[in-house]
Amino acid sequence: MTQCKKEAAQARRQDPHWKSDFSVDWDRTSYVTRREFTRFLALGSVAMAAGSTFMAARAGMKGSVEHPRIAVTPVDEVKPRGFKTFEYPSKGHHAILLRHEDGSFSAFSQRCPHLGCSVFYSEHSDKLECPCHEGFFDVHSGDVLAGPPQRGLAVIELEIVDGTIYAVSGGEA
Amino acid sequence: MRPANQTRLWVIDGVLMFVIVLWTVQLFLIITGLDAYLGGEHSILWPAAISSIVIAALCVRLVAYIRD
Repeated sequence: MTQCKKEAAQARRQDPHWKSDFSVDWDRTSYVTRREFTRFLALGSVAMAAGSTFMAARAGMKGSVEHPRIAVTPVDEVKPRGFKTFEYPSKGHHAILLRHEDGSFSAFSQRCPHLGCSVFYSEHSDKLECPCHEGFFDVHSGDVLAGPPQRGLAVIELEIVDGTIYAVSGGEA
Repeated sequence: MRPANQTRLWVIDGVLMFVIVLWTVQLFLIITGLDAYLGGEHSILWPAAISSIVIAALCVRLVAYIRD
């Protein structure tokens, strides 16, 4: 017994100080082996493949969307550097109609092509802006000016007949 | 360590390296796919999904080498 105590005391003297402060009992600790980690990665890989397939299938199920001819507003109701929101091509697909200083009109889907937030018209900068990740779009063409979006906004084709603006095609599918 | 064990460890490390690289590519594919899906750009979704399935099959095949 005394011999054991002596050996333990000797072992404590030989170990560095941090070992007693941060002691790890490897028999009690459950650690992940390289083999297990590789298997876990493979499982994640299968899950990602399933996710990608689900996304593609869901997009395919949406099908093609009809683009009706919708009266948006009378021309006189939107002043230069003004805007009006509407829904096109169907309910729930928000869009924005802009009137420029020269009197011409543009309309775009409000859905940001980055991650789907709604863009708004920033009057002081005369740009369309996505508040989520600070994406900026040109008010005439819908092209990306700055920020993370890789594509421009979906353009909605307009027609003006007898003083009324009609949305005729384009927009969010 | 015995030479046989050493070889086995090398194989596991090699497989792990390959799987990590493939996994990273797949992560890139799913992020790009999600971006395209939310942006209404549906044309690249099936190519991305098929590539992802091929990579997943490859990963599973590699992991099968180190089953035991």
